[in-house]
Amino acid sequence: MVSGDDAILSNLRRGALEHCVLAMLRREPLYGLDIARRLTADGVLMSSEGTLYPLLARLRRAGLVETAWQESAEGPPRRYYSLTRDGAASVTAFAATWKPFKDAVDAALEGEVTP
Amino acid sequence: MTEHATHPLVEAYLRDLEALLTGLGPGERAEVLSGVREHIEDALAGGPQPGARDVQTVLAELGPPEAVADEAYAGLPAASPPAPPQRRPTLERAWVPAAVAVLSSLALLAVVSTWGGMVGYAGSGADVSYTTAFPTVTFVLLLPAAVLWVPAAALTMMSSLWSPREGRELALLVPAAAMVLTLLPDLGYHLSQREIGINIGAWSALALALLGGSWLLWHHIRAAMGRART
Repeated sequence: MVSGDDAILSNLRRGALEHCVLAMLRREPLYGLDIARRLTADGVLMSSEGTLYPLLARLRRAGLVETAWQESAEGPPRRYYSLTRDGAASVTAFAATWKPFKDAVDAALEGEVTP
Repeated sequence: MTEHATHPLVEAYLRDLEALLTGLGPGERAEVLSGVREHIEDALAGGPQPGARDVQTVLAELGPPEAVADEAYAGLPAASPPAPPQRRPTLERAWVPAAVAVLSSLALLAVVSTWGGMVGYAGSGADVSYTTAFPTVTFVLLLPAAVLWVPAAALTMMSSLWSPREGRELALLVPAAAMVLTLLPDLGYHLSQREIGINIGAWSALALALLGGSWLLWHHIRAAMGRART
């Protein structure tokens, strides 16, 4: 059971994580380290911070996020990621799909426990 | 960019990652690598001089290069939202800093040579009412510089390759050079009431405009070139 946890988690993350990143950008543009720290805070959504960057590159190539350089108080300017119109539409679509999906999974899991 | 990135552990990590990402397109590989590099620089930027332990902590949190590479290859077929792959926005490609570099250098040269000519004229002993003739005549002579400067400033402000402050510095570079070249000789004249004052003011203004201006230009163009490549 325990040996399968990592594999299950990484399979579940596959489709959901990028939408979590997009959802985080709905309020304000964020820079890489900031996004990474938020995602790893609970250790569920992401375990290795480095995996964020292929994901961000993919989102940018898909036209869902765009980047801009902003000043930083601590050092050189930072690359900030912000949501494009397509990105915002993608989060909305995901949220609409996620609720029934989650309910269906919950129902299935509960069904197994109490037949 | 900073000394943190040159820490041997960081370099080794980035080298390993780069070797694992050879299956990606060059643009995507560079984007992932610069994202990770900036992450490391950012994470180490808080403290004074990061030791090996700080670096190891940051690298451990990033995870093994293999995990990063796996994620990069896992996403290769397609991201789940069906959007067409997009090229980099036109204003974020390398032609922007290149064009800004050429236009701004020419504008700077035009400004300097305009004033060089005027100061040479004033310094040649010609009996002109220096402070009154100077601004009106140079205003007309400055038109070529303005024609070069306007598109450069527009490109600078519209491109997201520069942060807002960097964009302002670049756009104000040529007007600032013009200001310095106008004001310093005048200041020299008013302080000394003699021709030598004009000359001292003019030469320091020239040095400031040329050396300071080209340094700032080079600095910002180089940064934007690096950003446009990723």
